[in-house]
Amino acid sequence: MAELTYRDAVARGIAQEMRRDDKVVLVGEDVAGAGGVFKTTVGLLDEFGPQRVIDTPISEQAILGACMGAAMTGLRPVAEIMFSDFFAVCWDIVVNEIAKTRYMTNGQVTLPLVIKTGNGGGLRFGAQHSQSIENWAMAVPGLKVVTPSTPVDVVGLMAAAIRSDDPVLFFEHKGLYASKGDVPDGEIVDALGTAKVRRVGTDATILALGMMVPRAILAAEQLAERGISAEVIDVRSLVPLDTQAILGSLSKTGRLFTVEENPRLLGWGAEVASIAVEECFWDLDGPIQRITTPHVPLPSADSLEDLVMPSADSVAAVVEKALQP
Amino acid sequence: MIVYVTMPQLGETVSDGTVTRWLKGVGDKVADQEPLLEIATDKVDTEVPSPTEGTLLEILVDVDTTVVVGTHLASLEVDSVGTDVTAPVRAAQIARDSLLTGRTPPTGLADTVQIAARHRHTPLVRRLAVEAGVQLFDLVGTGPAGRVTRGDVAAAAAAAVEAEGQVNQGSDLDEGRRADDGLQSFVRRDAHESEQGERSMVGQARRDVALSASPASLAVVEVDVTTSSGHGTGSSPDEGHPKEHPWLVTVLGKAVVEALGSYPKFNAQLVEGETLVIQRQQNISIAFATSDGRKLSVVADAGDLTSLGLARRIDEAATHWPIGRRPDQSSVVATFSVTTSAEAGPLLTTGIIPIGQVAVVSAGSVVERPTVVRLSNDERVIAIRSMVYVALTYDHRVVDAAEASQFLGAIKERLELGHIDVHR
Repeated sequence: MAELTYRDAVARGIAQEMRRDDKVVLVGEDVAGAGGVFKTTVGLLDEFGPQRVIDTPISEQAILGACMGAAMTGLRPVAEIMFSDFFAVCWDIVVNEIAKTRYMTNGQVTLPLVIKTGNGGGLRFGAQHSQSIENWAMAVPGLKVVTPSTPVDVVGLMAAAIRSDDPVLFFEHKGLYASKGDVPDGEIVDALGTAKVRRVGTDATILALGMMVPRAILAAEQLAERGISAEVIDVRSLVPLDTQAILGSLSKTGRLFTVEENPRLLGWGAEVASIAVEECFWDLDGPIQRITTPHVPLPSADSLEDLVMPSADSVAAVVEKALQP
Repeated sequence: MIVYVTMPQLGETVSDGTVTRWLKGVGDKVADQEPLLEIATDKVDTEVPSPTEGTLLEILVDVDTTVVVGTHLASLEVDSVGTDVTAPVRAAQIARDSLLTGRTPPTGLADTVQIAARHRHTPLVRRLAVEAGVQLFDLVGTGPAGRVTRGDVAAAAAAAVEAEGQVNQGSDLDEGRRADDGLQSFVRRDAHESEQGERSMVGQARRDVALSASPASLAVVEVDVTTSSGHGTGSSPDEGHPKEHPWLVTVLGKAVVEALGSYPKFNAQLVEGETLVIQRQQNISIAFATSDGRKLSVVADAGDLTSLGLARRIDEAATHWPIGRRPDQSSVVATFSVTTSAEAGPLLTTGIIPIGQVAVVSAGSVVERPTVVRLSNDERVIAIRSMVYVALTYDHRVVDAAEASQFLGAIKERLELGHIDVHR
């Protein structure tokens, strides 16, 4: 058991799989010599050499085009898109090529490819380097979408993503890179498509993803002091979605809240709410409520950025008001 | 049948009102929408019209009494033909209601249940109330704005259990009620949709029948399967039918699945003898004989399959059914069962209804027989036709003879039309 930062856990997860399988390669801007701009790939060049840890020019299309071809011809690449916002410049290759290849080749060509990326706000990076775009990816059939919130989950889900025969978008939250957690020694392999209960409760179910998970846990602690027992579920994987865990908790508590960093319209919580209403209508003891960033580009000003993103206080306030007798 | 007149909601903020004058007396006939009484509230004084045509049976709130919105003001005796707003209720429930509300039940209230949905409740509360047999109509909630919470339902259910204990001590009244109840349509109208399907309760009388009498009943039709079998066209039905099982299994299975679509009540499960859950999925258990012995297939979600798809799945799911033993357990729980006879087997067999299911369809063996056939020009001739007896054994607690007859007729019609093609 060792205490690791979230950023070190990224490198550990990739290294674990690179040691196990020499088909795994890492490709991206500054991932080799610099150890990643967010220092998530430190030490990998030294251990695995320049044949397997490859720096690229500043061209997201080139990174993903090369990795797609490599995946088609037998490697298992891990590509890095430095900021998730930059998916916008290579979205064609993600959506029209990578996501569809298995289907359009009738399953003859699979793409064992992980695209890891720094996602999310709260770090004063401004509107173009702070977005939470999991819901873009969730809307495209053919992609798996993962967002870990703890170091141990980073290692286990990275391993599961690399071992997946289909493309996985792996969203690391930039705001969590410095966070720490205990990570057991030895090989760790998690399962895609599984949520985790972070805190058990009976009165309300709070779903959260990425950096919203620690905030939801803090909110639940505040609520406990006010006599409300909230269950917090770390969704972890949007595609596949662990509906069993989510709906099971909802059936128990009767109330559902989602905490989403993305702008409100068509955030992942909207889809979850739709599923919950279809599947669990008769277990609902009140409206489903989504706590999200408003439908605006994330502001640059520190005070405004903090204001618009869901916080522990705002989550607790919404849940408490909704449950008021 | 009894219908209650309730204190109306006369504005968003008005929660109660005072009865100022009764315009009708007990025993008076009233027309639909004819004013019955006058009430005064903080905001408005108004007349309350009768919700239906009937006879004023009892005045439940006296003049100058203030009551909250939703309170029963009077009961009306209404000719029950053609109405569906009420459903049968057992005597214990009436006693339970009176204990919950502190009111004496009016005479003749034997078959009245008020629909809960008249008040606004969360879906969870509505489900819990149906499951616990609690009438939300009479509950005063402890939630915001008098909303009934799940805690209130639990408390009312606990009180009702206590009340039932008291009622059971003097049960002469009970017996009479139960006899009446047995004649009523027993699927309650306030059924709700669960994730499995529609759910409703079975009355006490039916439950008593279940314990004391065999509920199985039988209906048989003779079906002309010449067209379905392809005999009329000169080709053999099993020729080209790529399957291990006889053609009739596919054709009958498909006809049953289609008929279940039209008569979903037959695709229900009776849970603990009292709750009827109409299943959305049609999981069909089909027993048949092959040269390899007797087999059983449970085909999950058969409702969407083509004939050929069904045929394929029957083969895929087939497990051996050794004589005198139970078949191998399937992981799929069947919602309806079909059994067929071996070739040159018995002319008619009747299936045993599997526990929890509503009915079983069984087919005898197909025989050629001289039969009267009506031609399209209405002329009648005697022809050699392939005939089979199809029997429906059904649980008489759940379906009556008329429903059984319609369901069986639907199966017969599909088989005789010959639209079901085993090659497609």
